[in-house]
Amino acid sequence: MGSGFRPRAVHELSIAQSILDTVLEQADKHGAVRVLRIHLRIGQLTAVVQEALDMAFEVLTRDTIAAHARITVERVPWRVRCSRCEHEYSVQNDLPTCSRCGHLGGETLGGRELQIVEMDIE
Amino acid sequence: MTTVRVIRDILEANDRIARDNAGLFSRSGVFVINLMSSPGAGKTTLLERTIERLAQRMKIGVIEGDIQSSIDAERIERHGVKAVQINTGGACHLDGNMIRDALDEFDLDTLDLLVVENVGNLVCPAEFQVGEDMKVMLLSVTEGDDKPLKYPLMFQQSRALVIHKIDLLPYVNCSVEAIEQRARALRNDIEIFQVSSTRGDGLEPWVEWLASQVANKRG
Repeated sequence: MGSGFRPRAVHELSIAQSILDTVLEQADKHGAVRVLRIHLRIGQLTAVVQEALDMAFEVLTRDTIAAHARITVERVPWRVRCSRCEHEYSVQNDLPTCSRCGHLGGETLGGRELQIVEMDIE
Repeated sequence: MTTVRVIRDILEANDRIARDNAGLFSRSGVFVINLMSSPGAGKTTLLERTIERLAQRMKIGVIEGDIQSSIDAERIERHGVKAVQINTGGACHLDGNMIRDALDEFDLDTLDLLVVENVGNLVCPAEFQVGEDMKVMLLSVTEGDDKPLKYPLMFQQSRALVIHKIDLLPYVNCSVEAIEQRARALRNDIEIFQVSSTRGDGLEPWVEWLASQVANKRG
């Protein structure tokens, strides 16, 4: 891993560790012997790169029942309610620009999600 | 194979610790800012100029976050302010736990303002709460006016934005108006200050605004 890549990888490392903590706790609660798949919901506004997350997860799960578990991700668009006309839309460009009236800015309704939704265990 | 529904926020554990920290801050009446920017935007310099103007009026403490070295904490302590250095050893942001540990070094009841200077980074610190009253972001004009487009979460999370190094504007291709318009599109109540810490321009409005926030919390 090049040093230039390190900060971003480390960011996903913290997130991967948090995922693993919850997954192992839930697996234990349900008496699982193996975790096969973990399904995440990740908002467009969060800066999570799946390749980096996969790599971090692979390193962290060695010697745990979640080793080789597959991570699937559902991306949630950045949803905004226009502060002028109240239209709700998904942000297509860099800034929230209303798709109906063209106004810049509004209240963010979604896109900040960073959640574990479900997992397959056996 | 069984599918188990979980629905949990991934950063829930950190958020919980951050809430505990916020409780400690509230009980002690200390106002806490989480100061964020990319490396080299001038967080420590702005902080030094701010401390010089506020140290007679209030008791200030500083937590310095860096991947390594204690240079920043030493710079702050020269101004007679207690500074605790956290070395994250590679991690690109401070989290609630690191702040909790550093708090043992302070007598919170005697403080009015605690500044957490985060690791230089425009990505990760926006995701990790530490228990702060507000996030304050610095953007130096040498970084360019496209940063709100590239790091929207950081601007959205920040209650105040200091546009820094404005003395360099004649030498760089950066529009302060564009930064302001884009930042306000991301957060319409963001307070924006234009500051040069080396020349002193714009320091007073920033310092007075910060002092008023501290006074509000003290009640």
